[in-house]
Amino acid sequence: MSTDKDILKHIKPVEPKIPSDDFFSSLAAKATKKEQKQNEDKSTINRIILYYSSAIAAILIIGMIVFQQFNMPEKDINTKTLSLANISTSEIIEYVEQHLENYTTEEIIDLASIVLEEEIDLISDENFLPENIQFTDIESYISEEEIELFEDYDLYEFDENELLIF
Amino acid sequence: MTNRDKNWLDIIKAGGSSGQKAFQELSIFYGPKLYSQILKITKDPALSKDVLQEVFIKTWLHLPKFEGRSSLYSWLYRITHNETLSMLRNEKRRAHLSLSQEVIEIIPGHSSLDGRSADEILSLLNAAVESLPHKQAAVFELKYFQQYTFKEIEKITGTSQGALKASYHIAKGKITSFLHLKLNHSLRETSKL
Repeated sequence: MSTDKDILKHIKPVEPKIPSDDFFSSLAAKATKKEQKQNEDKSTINRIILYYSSAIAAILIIGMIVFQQFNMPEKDINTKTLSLANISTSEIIEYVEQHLENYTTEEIIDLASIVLEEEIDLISDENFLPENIQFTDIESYISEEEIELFEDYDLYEFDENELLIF
Repeated sequence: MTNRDKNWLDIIKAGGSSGQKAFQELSIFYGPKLYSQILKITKDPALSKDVLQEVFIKTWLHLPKFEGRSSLYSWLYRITHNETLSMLRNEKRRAHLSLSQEVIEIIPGHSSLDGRSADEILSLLNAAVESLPHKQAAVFELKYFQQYTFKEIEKITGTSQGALKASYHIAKGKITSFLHLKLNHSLRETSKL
């Protein structure tokens, strides 16, 4: 009986059937072609990614343009506001006098209400009238000019809040 | 690295149809050695061919990055070993291996081998080879399993015959000890029952 040292002598490798050279050659050819195909696939994927990126970029640009269009009226208003700032008070008054008849009393009241509602928070009871003008001055001015306002009412019957609103 | 391997590498790295032709030559030279290596583990010729295909693809892809710090065969041996184990793990084909081709035969007359099947011994032998450093395993593969002479292995690996003999001697000693340990341990476990 053999010793443990000789164990490999009792295990004999069986010679395998090796395929022909053509098999290995064709396998190598397949490997190089497969790698080429993988590169082509990668190239195709890159092209697809490029198309999608272009499409997304186009959508973003269109979105920005549309967004700007939506914002345009606000810009116009701002422009008009800036333009109005350059018009003198006398010019505005002149314009109002000329076109006052074009509006009914209700329309004027409504428009004034809108303006006052926007500015009401900025006007306090104290600073509504300039310091050097008193109610008596207004009263005397109205009587001197014979302006018939509030015929049936005394001016003092209105509280300051109503005046502010009107 | 041998001049032959260096020449192939230079042509392949240059690319083009010459590179593909050089790769085919390389595959014809190393293919049978790698196929035998795979077959020893899978014992399945069809599966071995599939594995070899993957090995060639990986080799073709990574060959331009091979720096030649080891012999080309040693590098290929390692790729083949890893790819074979990976394929077996992925496909879970280990269970079917005993139905396939015989890779070793047991010669009667050794007490530790008596009553053991060839499959059982091959599994142990493969485990023993797997425990070796890759260079030793590669030399053992060529000398023991593929029965090349040291002179032929020198031509394949570019390593001197003296170094190859020393490497093979160490590998053989380690494998013998491994088998001795496993088989005797198994024998003791059986006798306990």
